[in-house]
Amino acid sequence: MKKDFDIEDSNLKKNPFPKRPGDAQRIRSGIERTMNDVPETPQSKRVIYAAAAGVLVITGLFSLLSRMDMDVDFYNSAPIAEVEAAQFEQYELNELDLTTLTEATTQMNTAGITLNGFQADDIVEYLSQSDISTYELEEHY
Amino acid sequence: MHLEKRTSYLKTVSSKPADEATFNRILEDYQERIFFLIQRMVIDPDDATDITQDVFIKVWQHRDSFKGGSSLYTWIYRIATNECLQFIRKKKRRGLLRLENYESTLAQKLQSDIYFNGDEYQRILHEAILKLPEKQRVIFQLKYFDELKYEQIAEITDTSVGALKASYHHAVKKIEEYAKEALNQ
Repeated sequence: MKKDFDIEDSNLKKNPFPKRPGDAQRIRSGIERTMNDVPETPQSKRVIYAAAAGVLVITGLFSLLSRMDMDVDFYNSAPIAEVEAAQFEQYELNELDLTTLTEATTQMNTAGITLNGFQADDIVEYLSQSDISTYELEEHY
Repeated sequence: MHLEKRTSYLKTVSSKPADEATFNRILEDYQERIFFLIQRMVIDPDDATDITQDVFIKVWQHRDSFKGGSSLYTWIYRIATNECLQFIRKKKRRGLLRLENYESTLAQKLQSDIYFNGDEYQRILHEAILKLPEKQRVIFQLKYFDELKYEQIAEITDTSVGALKASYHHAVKKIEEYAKEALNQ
């Protein structure tokens, strides 16, 4: 006949699970591996770093573009007096050049000489397309 | 000297090698009983090995968060029981998808010599334990097998001593009833 179940029986408290060789070592080696691991940068931090780098690149790009835009603005917003002075200087130069050039081209035409492969007529035509010298060319030529 | 009486564990040790040395002592003292506590809960030795490993990895990783308010002993037990319960709940969720009952699967494992080599009474006891609700199972194990005081179990499980006593009493009753039925069959 079977004996009654007695929860106070000390035999019941014994470990009934077979010990497997190597389990303890497996546990230890897994723990040691983790202990020796260099902690990895968490995924969230990696995302933040990537986003920060992206923002820096975009900021740099915008900064570069706005600087280029500023150069254009500076050119466009140069005082009228400065532009007029520059045009006046160029006008005077052109006037001198054109006087000399008109004589030279007349001589070249007469002699049939070319300058760097261009006929004197070509040079005069080129100059005639220039905004500043148009008037003077028409007048002198 | 018992580990509980050591004052320089984990946080109080400043240099890393000393930390590791203390941790290794803790591992030596606790690894086996934590493994058996977990194995009684999950039966499968492979699962028990993995969970035990996770428990001590957590002990190592969170050594700075251990304030020393509770004893190291109860702190490690707390981590172990939480890991166990999490594992069981995860298994149950997966089992639901496959229409499997996790506890029934564990009870079947108790019939196999690979997993269990106790006598008939021990088998009945462990089958009965598997029928208990998760938290009651933890309480019963800590009181019955690990012979912890109710105050210690209260710290581990965040439950009042009164509730623990009632829970343990109910667990014993359920186990005795199950055993009676099982032996009469």
